[in-house]
Amino acid sequence: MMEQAIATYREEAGELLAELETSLLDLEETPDDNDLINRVFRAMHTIKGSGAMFGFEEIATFTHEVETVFDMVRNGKMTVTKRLLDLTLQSRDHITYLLGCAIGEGVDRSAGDEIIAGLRQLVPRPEMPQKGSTEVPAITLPAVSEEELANESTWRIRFRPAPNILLCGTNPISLINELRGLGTAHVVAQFDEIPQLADLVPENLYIYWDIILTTSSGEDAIKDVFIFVEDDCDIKIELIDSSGLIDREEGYKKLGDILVERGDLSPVEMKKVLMLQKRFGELLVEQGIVTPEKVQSALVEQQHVKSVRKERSEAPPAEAAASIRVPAERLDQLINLVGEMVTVQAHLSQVSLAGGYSTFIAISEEVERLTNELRDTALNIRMLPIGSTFSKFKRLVRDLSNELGKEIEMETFGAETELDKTVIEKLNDPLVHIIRNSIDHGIEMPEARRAAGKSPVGKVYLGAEHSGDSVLVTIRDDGAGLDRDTIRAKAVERGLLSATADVSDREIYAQIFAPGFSTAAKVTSVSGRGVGMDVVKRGIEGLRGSIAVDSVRGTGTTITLKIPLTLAIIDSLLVKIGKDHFVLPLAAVEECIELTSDDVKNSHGRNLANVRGAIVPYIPLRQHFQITDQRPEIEQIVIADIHGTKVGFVVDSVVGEHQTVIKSLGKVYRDVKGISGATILGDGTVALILDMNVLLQNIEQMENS
Amino acid sequence: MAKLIMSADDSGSIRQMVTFTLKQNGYDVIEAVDGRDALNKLSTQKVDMLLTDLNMPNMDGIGLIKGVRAGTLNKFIPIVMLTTESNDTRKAEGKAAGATGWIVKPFKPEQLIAVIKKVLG
Amino acid sequence: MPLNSSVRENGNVVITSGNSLTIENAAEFSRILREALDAAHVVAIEFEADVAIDIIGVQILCSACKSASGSGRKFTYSGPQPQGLTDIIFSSGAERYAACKHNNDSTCIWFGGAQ
Repeated sequence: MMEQAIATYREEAGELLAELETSLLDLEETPDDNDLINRVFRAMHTIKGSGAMFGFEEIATFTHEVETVFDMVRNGKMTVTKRLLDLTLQSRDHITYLLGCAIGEGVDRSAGDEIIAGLRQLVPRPEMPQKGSTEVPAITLPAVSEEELANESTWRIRFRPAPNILLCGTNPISLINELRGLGTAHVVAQFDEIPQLADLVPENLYIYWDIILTTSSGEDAIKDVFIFVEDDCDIKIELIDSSGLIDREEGYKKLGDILVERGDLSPVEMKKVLMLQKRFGELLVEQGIVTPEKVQSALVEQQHVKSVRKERSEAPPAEAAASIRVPAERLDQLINLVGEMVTVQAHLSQVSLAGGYSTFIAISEEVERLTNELRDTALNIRMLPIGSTFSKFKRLVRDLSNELGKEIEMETFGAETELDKTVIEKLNDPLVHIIRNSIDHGIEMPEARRAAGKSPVGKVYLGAEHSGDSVLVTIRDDGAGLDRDTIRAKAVERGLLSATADVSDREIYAQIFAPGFSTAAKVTSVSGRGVGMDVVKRGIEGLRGSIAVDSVRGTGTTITLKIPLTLAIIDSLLVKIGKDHFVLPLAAVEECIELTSDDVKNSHGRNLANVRGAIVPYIPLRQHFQITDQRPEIEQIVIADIHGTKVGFVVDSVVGEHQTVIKSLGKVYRDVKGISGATILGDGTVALILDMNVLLQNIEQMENS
Repeated sequence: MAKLIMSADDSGSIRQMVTFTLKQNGYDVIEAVDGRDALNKLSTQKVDMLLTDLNMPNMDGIGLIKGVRAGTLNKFIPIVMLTTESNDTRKAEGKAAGATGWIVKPFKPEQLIAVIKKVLG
Repeated sequence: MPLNSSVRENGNVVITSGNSLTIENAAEFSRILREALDAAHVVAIEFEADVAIDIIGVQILCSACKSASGSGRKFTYSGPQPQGLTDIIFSSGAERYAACKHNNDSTCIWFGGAQ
């Protein structure tokens, strides 16, 4: 088809060029003949317009120049001269040449450029249009949707058409329908300006519209709807509500405020009516201040925005979280910058304190306060409700229970609990493992459950709740529970426990996290190969979290994951051993006590301290890290609570609380036990972050062996 | 019932392209080669819409638009003008004469259809 | 029945809608209404079931209603509202559930669905 049209164009342009030649030669005889001038202009115009349509860009650009000149001649701004006719005839030849070139092929522009230069010389100075004015963009069409912003906004549009709008062939209802196509719209036609029949010009339109539109398309999309009528119609587009608005009140503006904003009511009148203490809308109508239609229209807006806001607040958490969509990298960048800021701020505090200049200290304290707020806010932005992951597990439970022939329901709670986005992502795999285990090993077959007097339908609960600076994620099932004796036997068999050791249930249950540990009699496709729980444990510890198991034989098992809210910045205790700084997560720290050299002597080589009558074992970190310089006379023990066990960590001195921006260690240090990361101090030195959990395990293992 | 659109253009290639595009999208088309031809045909033929070039011999697009609005049979139809000058006085002249909308040459077939759908409602 | 008016024995005027009340015959429709409301105390429209009505038709009905109320006449319709009227009321956002001062402060009989 296109080829055919292109062929027609070549033919047609050929004819036009022949006609052009005749016209130009005639024009030489009668240079004032307007008819001839028009004919030349029209020929150029058609060649240009159609040329652009069919891809003859060169022709369009070149002809535009010639056409522009003849437009001036046509408008009396230039006169026909011999030189102009010469150049135009040359133009004709050049266009013929261009027509012969295939579309897209390179062309020789030199002749054309010369002609254009010549033509430009003829043009009176200020009139010469800028080159490139052919590049008129095609009109933006409403169908072309701009990149969809997740931001849904509500707009108030007052559309007052020109009285003759229908006489110009525009149906205002089509425009309103186009607006409806952009989102949710409430449309109120206003009739108050319709006159009585005697004064009515029947074909004129007196109606105007108030439209409240909620859409994710932007203002430009709305304006595009009115593109053909915007010059003649009175169109007011105002943003009245947006999901991105900071000021997010529950309800919406009062009726009076809406009317005042719309210009339907003056503030003075509003005050007067408000004094009367009655329903505002009724009063306005009663007093004849505002027509009922306008009140109704404002009420429609009020209703519309209220319901949009209600919908927004009732949307499931995951969607609500999506109300401002920001690329994750940008957030990570923000967190990083805040991290840098926290580090610099620490330096500032240090320097200001050392300087002892009180105004400076005050400023530095203010900066510290603001930095803390900034940190919390920034970290908060990255928080997501954990519920988004929960829904995935419902599917997992359904599929697995089908596969195993079990009947299992899943219940969740605390879906709205927020956690750092990266934490949620990393929590996924451990949760899959735990839930698989619950379904496979925990929940019994329906017959077994019936026999045990339980409902044949097993239940898995998945929940999350806040606990201090952590989130507790609980996975509970009402299955058979862990078999204490089997686990113990297995652990003894594998040399993980001594047969005679007096150990608590918790410690026995903890054995399921040992690598390769499985008590499953047979391997199913779901679990039982003994890979899993140790991976889970490592995963959780990678998040600086901890894992605990509780189980009652016959009633079920509960696994509790304690996860720090965020991975990026933590409150910590800065300590010093020798010249080195170390950081202990503050959440686990209970208190600090002194350890004198006398205490050490009195304990006869056993690392035990007496804390108000309780015996607390401690780990001398100086020895552990093989730091050899002079030990101070008085050391400090940092007492921490690790899963219910009190342990002390001996350090030279306690520096104080510290905001720790966690930096991960490189590959080389990844396997170093007892260190979970590093941080940069205010003065630029590096401090290692101690993993108290792992340190404790190391010591225990060393003692057992 | 398919809507009937008149396409008035002195350029055969444009008419060809417009007619093809419109028919492909389910519209019926009658063609006119200039303003006078179009106005003659529109005096006896009711159409749903007029698509007209502005620069035509005999009677240009502005004259045609004025003529249609002054007539009876097609007085209220939407009229879209094809123009090369997006910001020119010609467009304003066309609007003043009673044009409903415009489309700027060069245009793509889908742009043409979008504009037609817009004005036909 | 084409767009026309006729006087009944009781002096009321009945206007038949014909199949179209649009901008095309806006001048005629408004003229017929004006003359009817000048002559009679009660004017009623009988709609064809398939009558096409556009926004100009709606506007003329409203204008006639205002005229009638201004001169103490009654302007109404008989039979059910045609689909064409319901459609344009809905698509143009012309529904009126608030009282209209031109209709003795009662709900609009034309666009409020009450009669």
